[in-house]
Amino acid sequence: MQLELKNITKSYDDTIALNDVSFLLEPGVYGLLGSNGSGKTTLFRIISGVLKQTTGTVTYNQEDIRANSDTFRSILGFLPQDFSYYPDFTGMKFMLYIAALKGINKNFAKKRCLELLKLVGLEEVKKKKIKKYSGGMKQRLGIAQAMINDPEVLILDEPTVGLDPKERVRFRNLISSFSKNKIVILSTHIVSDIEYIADEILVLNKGTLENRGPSSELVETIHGYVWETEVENDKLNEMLMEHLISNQKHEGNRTVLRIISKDKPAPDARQVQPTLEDLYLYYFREEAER
Amino acid sequence: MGNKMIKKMVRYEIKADEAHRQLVIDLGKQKINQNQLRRYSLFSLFCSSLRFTRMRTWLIQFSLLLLTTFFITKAINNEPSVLIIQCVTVAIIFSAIFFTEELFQSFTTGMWELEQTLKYDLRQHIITKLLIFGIADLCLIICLALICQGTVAIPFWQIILYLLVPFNIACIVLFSLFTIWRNNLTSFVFWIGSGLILMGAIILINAFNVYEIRIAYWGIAFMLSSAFLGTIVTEMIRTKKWEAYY
Repeated sequence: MQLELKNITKSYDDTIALNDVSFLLEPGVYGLLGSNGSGKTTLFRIISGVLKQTTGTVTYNQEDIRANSDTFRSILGFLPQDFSYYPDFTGMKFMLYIAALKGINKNFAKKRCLELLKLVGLEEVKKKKIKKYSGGMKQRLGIAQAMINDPEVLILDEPTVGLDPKERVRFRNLISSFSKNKIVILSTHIVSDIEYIADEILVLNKGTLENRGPSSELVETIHGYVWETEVENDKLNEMLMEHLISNQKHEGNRTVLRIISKDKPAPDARQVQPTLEDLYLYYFREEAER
Repeated sequence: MGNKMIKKMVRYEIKADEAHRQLVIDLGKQKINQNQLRRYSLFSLFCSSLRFTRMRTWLIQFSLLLLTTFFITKAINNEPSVLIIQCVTVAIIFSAIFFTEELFQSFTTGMWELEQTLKYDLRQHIITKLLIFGIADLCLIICLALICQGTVAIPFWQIILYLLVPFNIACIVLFSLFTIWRNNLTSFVFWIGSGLILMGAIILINAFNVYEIRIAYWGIAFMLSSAFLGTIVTEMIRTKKWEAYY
């Protein structure tokens, strides 16, 4: 089971959304880390066949997915970033509708939909219209619909948006139990989600794949760049202007700053263990500074 | 199971312990699921499209048929034929608008992106819905033409022409507009657009007595509008057109 992207480029007039992106994915959970506009959604749309790349190929088990789109779609599960729904449908009817369009037999679909609604905690509200669902409930429904056909390739674009911490834990457990012998790719702004679930992280910056690897390995690439120092409150603004700050904690008239910098930012600064959040800021500093 | 299969299976040894039995069951289930996912049936797509078409849409069409029937047989049955035909034409344009709303629902609700990634993709889904609504509209037109025949002194095929030409034109305008606006279509835009189309049609029908035009020209108009509608539908369902311009 291999999903391979070779030299994928997508451009719109003068803008290049993806620039020569290549990678090979085998069964496992992959987290796509990128700031807004880094090309995550474009990449997902290309893999799922919603968008056509300008150049390059996407193959699944060595077969071009555009040439074999029917076959690929039958093993694909997709949750778009802006998950929409038919507001007058109930949760169960929506699931059955998606199951029907995924070509699943009516009786089997009913069983599978009930099972999934139970897994995402929507069993009790299955007969309620979706327009009455909360944001988190809609998102959970979106996750459930993506899994109806027990897909070999599951693409989830920002699946944890709108989920409370308890629901996020449930989501992580669901993905972990589901991901055996499957390719799961997900993107999220909540770095800790990726840190917990993903076997490997892909860093996408301005349409280019900057790095990939397990969370611990990636974090090691910024080893020695993360510092902690204490400053007087009156010098705080100066430090904020000069450095990339990943965290600040006020303690009386002093503030403890966590700084990402290749050079020692202050004489009394001490190196600390980097985290994935620090890595995110390191790669996407422009967004952080904005 | 045929003899050939039995002979083939004799050579396979299946261990009778619980673990192996479960393994065979699991493999069997896996195979059934795989086969089911590979099964490709446009008939089942047709059935599920029918099943998931909103009840509201069918009720509206049925109400249109009943109301128009009541109108032309009880309320305006003594009025001139032109008025009766005009009344039926407006009902048919209404029917086309309500079906178009159902047809473009994937876009007005933003579901199109997800539907494009499903086994039966958006194109196949739209074609199936077009087929269902096309058949339903054709039945409606035939029913209304048959009912009209009883109140006006115009032959059936002529009434059909008087109804099909404006129906085709309404569909051409609706489909063209909504193909252009598809990617940023909302229910609001849809209903405003449809309202304007209907108003335009009523003004045109009333401004000119189109029924005085020779029937041969109606025939030509029907053929031309059908060909044009066919082209628009083909254009509308071309796969590359579904790709959004983000």
